[in-house]
Amino acid sequence: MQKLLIEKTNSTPFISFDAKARLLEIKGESYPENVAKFYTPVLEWLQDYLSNDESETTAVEFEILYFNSSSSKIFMTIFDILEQAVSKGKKILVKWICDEGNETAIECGEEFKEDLVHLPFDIKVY
Amino acid sequence: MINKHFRNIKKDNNTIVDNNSLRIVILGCITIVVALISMSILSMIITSNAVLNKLKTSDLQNMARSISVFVEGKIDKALDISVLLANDPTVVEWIQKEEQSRLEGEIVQVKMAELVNDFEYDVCFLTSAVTNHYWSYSSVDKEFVLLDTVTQTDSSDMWFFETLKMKKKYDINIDHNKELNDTYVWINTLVGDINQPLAVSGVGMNLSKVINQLIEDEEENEINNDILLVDGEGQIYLSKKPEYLEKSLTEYLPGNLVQEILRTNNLESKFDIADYETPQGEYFDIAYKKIKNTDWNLIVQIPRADSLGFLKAIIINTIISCILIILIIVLLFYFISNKIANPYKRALLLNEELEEKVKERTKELVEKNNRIKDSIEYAKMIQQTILPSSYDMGKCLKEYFIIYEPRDIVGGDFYWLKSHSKGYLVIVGDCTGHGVPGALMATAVNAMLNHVVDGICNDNPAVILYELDRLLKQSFKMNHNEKFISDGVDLGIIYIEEHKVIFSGANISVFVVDGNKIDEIKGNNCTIDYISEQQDKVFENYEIAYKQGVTLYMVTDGLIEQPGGEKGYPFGRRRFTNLIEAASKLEMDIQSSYILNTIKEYADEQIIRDDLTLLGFRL
Repeated sequence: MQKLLIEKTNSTPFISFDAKARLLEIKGESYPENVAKFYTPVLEWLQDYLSNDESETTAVEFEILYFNSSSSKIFMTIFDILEQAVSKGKKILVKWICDEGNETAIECGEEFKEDLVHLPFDIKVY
Repeated sequence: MINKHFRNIKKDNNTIVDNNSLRIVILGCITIVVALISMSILSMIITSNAVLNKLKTSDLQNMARSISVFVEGKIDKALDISVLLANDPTVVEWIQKEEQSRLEGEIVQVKMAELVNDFEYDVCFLTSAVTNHYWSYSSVDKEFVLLDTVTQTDSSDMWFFETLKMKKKYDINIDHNKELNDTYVWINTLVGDINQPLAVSGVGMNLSKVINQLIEDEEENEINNDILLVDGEGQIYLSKKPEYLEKSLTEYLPGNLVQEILRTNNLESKFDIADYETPQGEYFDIAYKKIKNTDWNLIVQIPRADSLGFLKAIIINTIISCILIILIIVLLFYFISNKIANPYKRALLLNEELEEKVKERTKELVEKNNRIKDSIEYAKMIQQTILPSSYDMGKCLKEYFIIYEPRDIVGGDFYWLKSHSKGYLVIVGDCTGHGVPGALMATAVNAMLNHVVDGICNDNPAVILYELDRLLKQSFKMNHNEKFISDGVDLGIIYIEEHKVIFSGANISVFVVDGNKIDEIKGNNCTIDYISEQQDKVFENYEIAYKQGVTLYMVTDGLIEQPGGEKGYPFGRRRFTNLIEAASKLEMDIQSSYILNTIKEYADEQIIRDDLTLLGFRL
């Protein structure tokens, strides 16, 4: 499966989805003008990836400094997709990485975590 | 303005190019001149050293030796001839017979004449110790004559009587004849047994003539050397320079060198070599040696300037070629730098053209941008009309302020107010997105709110939220193509009726400030949208105790989450709570600018990310 690599811009995060390494990374800020356009390929890739038979654990890392509410909804959609996959037996571990000075990011991570039942969701504060 | 600026840059660029080429030319020339000069100086030193070395070890030696071989050869030959004459039996017999035998006398005469005429001697003489007769044949008289009869009393004849006593076969004398102003070599040979000699015979040779002949030969070869003939006392008897003649060597040469020359007893054919500097600073290289069998000195000297003279030609040639090379290099550099400069000029022209194109495009873009901006400005007017007027606001809320700053002229944020006979509803909303899509959503949500409040419920915030969520799903889901995207709206609703305050929120909270106490009542953590699969959405009502002077604030996430500070992190809820607390102590009408300024100061150079809305009012 081809790697998905999107360079960082001011309003969109760096995205690296590597099927071989089983590491999905989203890092930076997210407030694109057109959330749908930016994230549709990301979500499609993700669904593709999860449709493959894979028994090993996949690591998903989020390190987002700022995101707007539209992005927040997209992140929730991503977590929903992952949650469904986990309930179907996939092994996935989400790491929500944030600086201890970024109170909003920590809070948002906690809110996401509250909404999730099956998906392992670690908040790593450094 | 742009044009002027551009022209300035162009001018500067040209200057830079010109300065550079000039600098390259100068630098190149200096490098080459330095290299040429240092190379020339170095080669000059090496060459002059080598030439000097060769001059001293070889050239001067060879030159001097050829001169000495010539001179000494002549003397040796004269010596041989003298000895032959002295040993001639006819001569011996003629002398023994007291020159009486006429036949023998004629033979002697012929022999002596032959010697003078054939070998170019000046004089051939024969002086008998028996008769004391001095016979002579000279190249001048060409006659065999009895010139004199020597006597012991005549001082000028003393040489004869001393020669008889010398106890060796021959003696060579050099003396200077003042009357003739010539220097002669005299070979005196004893005839018969050296212990009891019969006579003294020999030849006289004009040494000046011999050496002058040499000098003439060398003048033809343009050799500027000098051949000196110096006696044992250091007197100069022969030189090319007339002023040297009959002067002492010490007048011209340093004393220690003269002593060295006079003391030398070099019997080998090799010359001694030395050099000296005249008071005028001229250098001379000098070769000297004794003439064989005499105490006279043969000196050859050559001015160093002459032997190194050809180096001058090298210097002149070097200077000329230096100048030529510099000239060529300057031209070459000028040509090259012009060729180099040309692309710059072309680039500048190209730049100018591109600049023109950019200007045209920019103009087009500005026009398009203005059209869009106008259109959005118009949209803003429409959005303003759906927002409650300040009159309506002032009628319901005694004291209030509103911050309403859409990021892109229009936005997804809105506030809403409706009063009826029992009470009134205050709402702050944040539709996902901002700009035109946000505004479209906001308009739609506004209409739905009106529909819900007018037709379904106007006094229960939680019910209003629930109904709005339902209505939104109904209205939007049918035409929805996007698989993943869910637009929606966050809302905070406060209903106030007499002494009752009820709040319900979807992702929006209310801050309640009562004196020094601040409480945040978070609404439910679920948004109103049209795709969410979440079926168990529950919106709850919270009752806030009514108390006069209590201030309520409802805010959208734009203000709370605006990035800024050193690390670019969002402002944050804790900081925002503190800000509200601080602001609440101020008069209502300056709170808005205080809060907005604080947030914008925090944002510093970070762009504003979202629409900013904050409604504050006092009960």
